[in-house]
Amino acid sequence: MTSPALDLMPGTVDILVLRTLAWEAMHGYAIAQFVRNRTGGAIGLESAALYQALHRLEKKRLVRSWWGVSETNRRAKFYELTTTGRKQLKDQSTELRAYVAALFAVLDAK
Amino acid sequence: MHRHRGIRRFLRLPRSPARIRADVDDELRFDIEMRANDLERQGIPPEAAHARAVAEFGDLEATRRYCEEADMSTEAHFGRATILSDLRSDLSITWRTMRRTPAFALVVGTTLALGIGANTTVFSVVKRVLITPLPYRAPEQLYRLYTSPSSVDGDNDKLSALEIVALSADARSLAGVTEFGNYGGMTFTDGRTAEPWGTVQVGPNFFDVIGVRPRIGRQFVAEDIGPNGARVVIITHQLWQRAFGGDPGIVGRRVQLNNIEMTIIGVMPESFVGPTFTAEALLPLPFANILRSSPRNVRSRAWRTIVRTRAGVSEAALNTDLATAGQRVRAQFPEIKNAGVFRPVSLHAAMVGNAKTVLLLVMAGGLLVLVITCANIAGLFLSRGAARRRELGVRAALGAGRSRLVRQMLTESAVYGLVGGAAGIALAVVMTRVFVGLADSSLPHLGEIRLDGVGLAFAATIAILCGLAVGVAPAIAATRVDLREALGDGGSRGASSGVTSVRGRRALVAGQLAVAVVLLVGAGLLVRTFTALTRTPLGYAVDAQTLTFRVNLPYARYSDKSSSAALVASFVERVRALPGVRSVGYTAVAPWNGGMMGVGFRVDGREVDSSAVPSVEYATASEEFFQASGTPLRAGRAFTPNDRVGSPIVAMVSESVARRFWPNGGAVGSRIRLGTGAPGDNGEPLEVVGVVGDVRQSVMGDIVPTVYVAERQWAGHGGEFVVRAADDGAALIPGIKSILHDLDPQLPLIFPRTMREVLDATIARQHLAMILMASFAVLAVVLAALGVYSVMAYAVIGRTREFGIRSALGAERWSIVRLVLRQGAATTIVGVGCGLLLATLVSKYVASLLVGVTAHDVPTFTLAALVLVAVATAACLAPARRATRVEPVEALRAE
Repeated sequence: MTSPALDLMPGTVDILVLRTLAWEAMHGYAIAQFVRNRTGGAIGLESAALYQALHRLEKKRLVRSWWGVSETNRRAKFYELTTTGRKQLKDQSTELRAYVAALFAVLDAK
Repeated sequence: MHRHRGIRRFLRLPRSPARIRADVDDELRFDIEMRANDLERQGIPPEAAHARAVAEFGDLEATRRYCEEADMSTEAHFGRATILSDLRSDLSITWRTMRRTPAFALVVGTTLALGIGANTTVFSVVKRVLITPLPYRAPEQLYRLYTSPSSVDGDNDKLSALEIVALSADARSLAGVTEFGNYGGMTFTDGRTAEPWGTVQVGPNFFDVIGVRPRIGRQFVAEDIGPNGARVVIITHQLWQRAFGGDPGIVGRRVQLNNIEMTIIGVMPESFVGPTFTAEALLPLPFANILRSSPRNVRSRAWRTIVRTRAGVSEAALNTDLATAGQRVRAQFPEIKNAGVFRPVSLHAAMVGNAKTVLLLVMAGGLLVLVITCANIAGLFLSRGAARRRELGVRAALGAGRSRLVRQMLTESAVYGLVGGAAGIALAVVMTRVFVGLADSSLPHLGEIRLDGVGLAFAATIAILCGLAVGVAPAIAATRVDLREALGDGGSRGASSGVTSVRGRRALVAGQLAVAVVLLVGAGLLVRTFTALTRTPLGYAVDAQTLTFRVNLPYARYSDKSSSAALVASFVERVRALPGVRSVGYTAVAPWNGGMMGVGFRVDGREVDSSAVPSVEYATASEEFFQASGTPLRAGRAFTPNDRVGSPIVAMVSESVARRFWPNGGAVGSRIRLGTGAPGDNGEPLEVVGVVGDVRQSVMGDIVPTVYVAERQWAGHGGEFVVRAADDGAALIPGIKSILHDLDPQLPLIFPRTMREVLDATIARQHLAMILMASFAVLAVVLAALGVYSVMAYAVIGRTREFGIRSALGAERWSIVRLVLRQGAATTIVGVGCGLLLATLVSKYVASLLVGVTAHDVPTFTLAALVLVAVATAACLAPARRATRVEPVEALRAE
């Protein structure tokens, strides 16, 4: 956490959030922690971006939310993927993989 | 707070902008606090931790605005989309629950279907009989006139021709008066068959007064009636179809009725029903001829009367007007007993009679059973909900909002309601047919009864109500799931957890018990009535060995007394020769068919004021009539074949007549005269030769004081026959039919039935009411017992730990049983007590149906209470036993 986190490319936040929620339903803070832990802190998901993404995704009906109780017994807003969200994640992952592969093909060209 | 939001979401009210702002604020603050907590745990002081968390967050204000805007636009789309997807998921949860517990689903669905089906059926009948207007023009203006107080003969619905004429001339509130009578029935012959037709004579203005015209052909006109009566007939649609195959050329057709040629001049519409009579053919009543006939005929109260009021005349105004008119009539004809007493009863009430009470009773009973059923199902849902507390708690913690749970519960019960409703409607279609078949003889004939749109709407309404009633309590319970309790320290212990829901369930059970008491009291009163009715001595045998039927000898061919006497004599002789026949009797008017006629009765040698001659009923009897009908001979002798034309004229009297006129005995051997002694009404002297037991017309009727004269000396052409068989009377019918056909192929055997059937028909309505109420009561008791059992069983499970500790501390088994029973007893006593109170309040509504028992019959009330206390206690025993078996160790280990 001491090393500065990488800046995220536009659109990546959404797919990260979707992918995280594909794991299980969780609240915003848990999403951020999950991403941070998974990437060894390489990707630091700024809270501002995260919550904007969550509300944006909810508006697009890719996730849905409800108020539940957190592990610390506090009222917290939970998010989960909708069916559309799951499909979107699949499509976007495929696209992103292709994009990244293409990108590497150029970067690694010798 | 929570509740408030739950209801909001449940109702799908859009979140207000303030609400959205608060939610976003809450969400973002949660993030910051979490982060600050993490930082604090790393050793950073609280204030610094918070400041750093805020700093790390990024642009808080921009995020807040962004999220709020996003939420606003989400909210705008929220309603429709989620409600559908939630509904879909609720339905699939319901479906899964149903599949997981098929027995529960089946019991609930079937019970609801039965309840809804039965209630819809009863409603269809109630609608037809009590709500649908009579098929006459402006039926609310129509009244039947009764005479009150009832005259000596028990006939209180007939007026004399003189009164009718006076009334139509005098009463200003009336727009029309018409009369009918003489429903003897006539024999239709066409060379091949002989068939009895139910006939009635109606005044020529009958059609104008009731406002129904023949569908084809014309109605009667005064010119139809000649000096010797009329030769025209109007038939019903049903007879037209049955006897003439709906022949379009029916009008003008000539037919033989009682061997007299008559012309069919019209056919009534299909919907026509006789106003307080049943007949297939209508003949004109030669009222003008009657007015010109003997004084006795003119004064004889023989005609039933229907009046139509002028528009806008209220029942009270009619009563007043008829009372005034009646006084004038009374002054005008002092010689007619009770002259001018006119009691109007709305035609609808007259046609429906006490069937109204029966139907309302049955409907109330059915609805009450449905209420108990719903209470029971609600109880089942409640305890299932309670058993799933932990699961519900987990789901709530996982974020299924409480409102979501509530909605899911309501969806489930609504599905049951709808499925039950649909099945109930299907059942109702069948049940309506079965019910109408069963109840045909006890329902007024007002037209076809079937399930129509209104009935369907009724079924849908009660289905929805049932769904709601069943689901509301568990849904409310679901909103009370306390997460901490469900998940944390109290989840499965239950000593305290179910208190509110147990209390609710006990209230439900007490309610069920109360309703069951009411139904049981009602059924008890009806059973006692029915027993009283069947035990009422009628004075004649009402068994299956005794057969009765009618043979009408048409005057046209049997005008000669000797020819009719000869036919009857050989008929009787041949029937008596049939194997298994004990005795054969006949009379002109059998008491069970009513229609007896009052006659003045004077003992020879005693002076009586000619205006106050006492009246008794008059009937004829053959030698074996009393033997066949089972009426006992009390003194003297019965008629013999020697009592014939030419020999001294004899009579027999019933016991009550003997007591009244010869209080010190000596009836036998006395001489009497029949008639008032007025000119034209002064009979020959008769000698009383015997005294027979008293008879009643029906179980509900009073004893009819009767004088009998010998068939051979008077009528000679019979009418009503009674055949006493050694065995089943009905088995004789084919044999008797063929004898009659042999003697005269044009004579039908009319309405043969055993005396048992005669009795059953008269008490059919009470019987139906009793059977239905008894079934409802049994159902109610069983349901209430189930309710008690399940609530007690549930309470015992809830107190498992307590019982374990008690028995660990050395409590006697009996003291634990007592503990459980005491808890049950409280519910039972409250329920039964309320039930008795309620029954006291409502039992007066069935009073009109009761015979031989009062509406507040103490034994019935006591017995009903005892039955329910016993049943409820029995239902507590099994749970109590289980409570004593709680092993202390087990109860504590279950923690």
